[in-house]
Amino acid sequence: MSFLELQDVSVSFSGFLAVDKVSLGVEQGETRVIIGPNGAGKTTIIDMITGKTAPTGGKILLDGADIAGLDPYEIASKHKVGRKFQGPNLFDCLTVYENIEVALAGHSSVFKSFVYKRDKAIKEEIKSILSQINLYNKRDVLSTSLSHGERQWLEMGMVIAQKPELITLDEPTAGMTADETCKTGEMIKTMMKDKTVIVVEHDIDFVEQIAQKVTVLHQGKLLAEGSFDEVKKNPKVVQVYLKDDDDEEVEKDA
Amino acid sequence: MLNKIRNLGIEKYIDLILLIFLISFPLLASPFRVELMSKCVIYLIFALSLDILWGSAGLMNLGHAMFFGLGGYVLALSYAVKNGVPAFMVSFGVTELPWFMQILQNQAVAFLLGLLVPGAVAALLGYFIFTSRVKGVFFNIITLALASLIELFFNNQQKYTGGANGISGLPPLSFGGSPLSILETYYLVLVVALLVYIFCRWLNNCRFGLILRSVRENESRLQFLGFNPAAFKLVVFVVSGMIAGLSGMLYVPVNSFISPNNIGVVFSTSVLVWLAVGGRGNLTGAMIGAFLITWMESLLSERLDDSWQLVLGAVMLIVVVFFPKGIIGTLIDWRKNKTGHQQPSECDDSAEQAITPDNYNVIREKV
Repeated sequence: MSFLELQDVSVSFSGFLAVDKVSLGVEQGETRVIIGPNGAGKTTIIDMITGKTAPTGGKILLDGADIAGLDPYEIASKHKVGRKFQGPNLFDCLTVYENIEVALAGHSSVFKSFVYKRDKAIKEEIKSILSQINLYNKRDVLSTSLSHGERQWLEMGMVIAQKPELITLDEPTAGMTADETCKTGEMIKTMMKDKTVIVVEHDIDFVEQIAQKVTVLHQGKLLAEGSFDEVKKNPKVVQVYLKDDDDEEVEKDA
Repeated sequence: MLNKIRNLGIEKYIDLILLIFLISFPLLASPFRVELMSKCVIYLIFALSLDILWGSAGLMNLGHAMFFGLGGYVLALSYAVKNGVPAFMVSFGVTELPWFMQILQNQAVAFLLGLLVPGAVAALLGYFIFTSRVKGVFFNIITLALASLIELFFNNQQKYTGGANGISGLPPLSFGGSPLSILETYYLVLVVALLVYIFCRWLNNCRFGLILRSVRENESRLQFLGFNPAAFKLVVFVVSGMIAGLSGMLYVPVNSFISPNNIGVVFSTSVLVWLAVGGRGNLTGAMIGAFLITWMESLLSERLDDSWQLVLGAVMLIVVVFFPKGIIGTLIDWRKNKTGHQQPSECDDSAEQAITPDNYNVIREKV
């Protein structure tokens, strides 16, 4: 059995079937990219894995345990799932340092929050994370005054601080310059090397940079799955997704 | 070391000045003023209790006086029933004390209950409010409704609470049989205030405080980092309620009178105004706000006739309109600007609502 397994997972929002019996398995240590046109259900799948949305049918097995419908904090703390949101989602009026400190794994109960001490080991840990995301020099800056790309990286750092086994990244390069996108790809490859990672992404070059296996969704259903090259050549995928954007516009107008 | 002192925020200096002023106050003032100042210091404690709730965790409790009043009423009733059934109960035909009043005849138990009753009420309310994920303006409305409900309840239960007349003729604090003088009471209140202040500073500085600020900034994000925000909100709600109850207990012997006014909406609004004027989230603002407004209230009402409320209202309006972060909040910003530190001007209460390209998706998702 795979590390993460979705079995016939469905969810509907007031009658609209957003995800329709999707099954997929992600192996431990794999980096999986989910692509698909807008409204394909990519973010909804991440929502279900992280507990934001409860599936209306099917099972989500993580390391053998069914996590479908649990509260987000349980999934994050007990089952060690980390999430980076679409568009950076930070604690705005805290400093960069504090944002990482909040996220640190193992200090999330009320009791532990009273006995927690910022000792040497913790300082070292935060320093190492901040250096990896190139923000050590900006540690005392409020997260609101970072650039968009830096905010994305800060959230990646928070996810690392959380020490998750499974990492979900929802469009980690949205709004980044080409250079920043490339750096982000390297971060994922180095910082999340031995973790299981699920990435939702649009940028095809970026997908090629990081993906080991690609899953294509279309209108809530699984359309194709395979290596990047296989998927790229798949005629169905080409038809719904990899076509020029102009065609999409035409479709919409019609 | 020197560097550390220089980096100390301006608010810490203000705290120190305030403390020195309060310690030396009785040397310069008449007993009448000292008694007024005791009440003022009690209000500082009350304001601190709301600041850890509203300022740190962003939970704006519109009915905070209910905890103050509960603590106060527990102690007032214990004084009233000390020598058997009090007169106001007799006039309603009560001849024997019910069990819950007999317990209060023991002073030590009464002091304990003055903390535990507000704490238990906060725990019960908080449990239902926070686990059902009531948030934002709905939280405000519920707390407002609860405050007026409790006020109504204390008004209606005349038999046991004295109704709208309240409970009067309460004795001053006594220690081993002999009552404390005005001066002794003042310093006792001041020591309690200092301890509460140190406790609140510690609370804000430890990780719990950091998590509270994270709850305020982005509660939904916090869940995905493994935190259960409801638990943190519940704990701070209870702690805040107990501190408010403590201030209510101190109020009773100093004021020698308590009425439903001390438990209801109007008094709840007062403490909100203190924090709005002084500033939130730094403790100093809460204390300065409470101090300035209660002091202005008594000075203005002595010097002007009925128009004093107009003057006070105008001052509050000016502060809230021109310094939305309160006097101390504005001062801290100004100071940070001057020393070249970060300018957190975007970080006021309304930051959450502002839509920027960065948080557009988040806000859209929330909606």
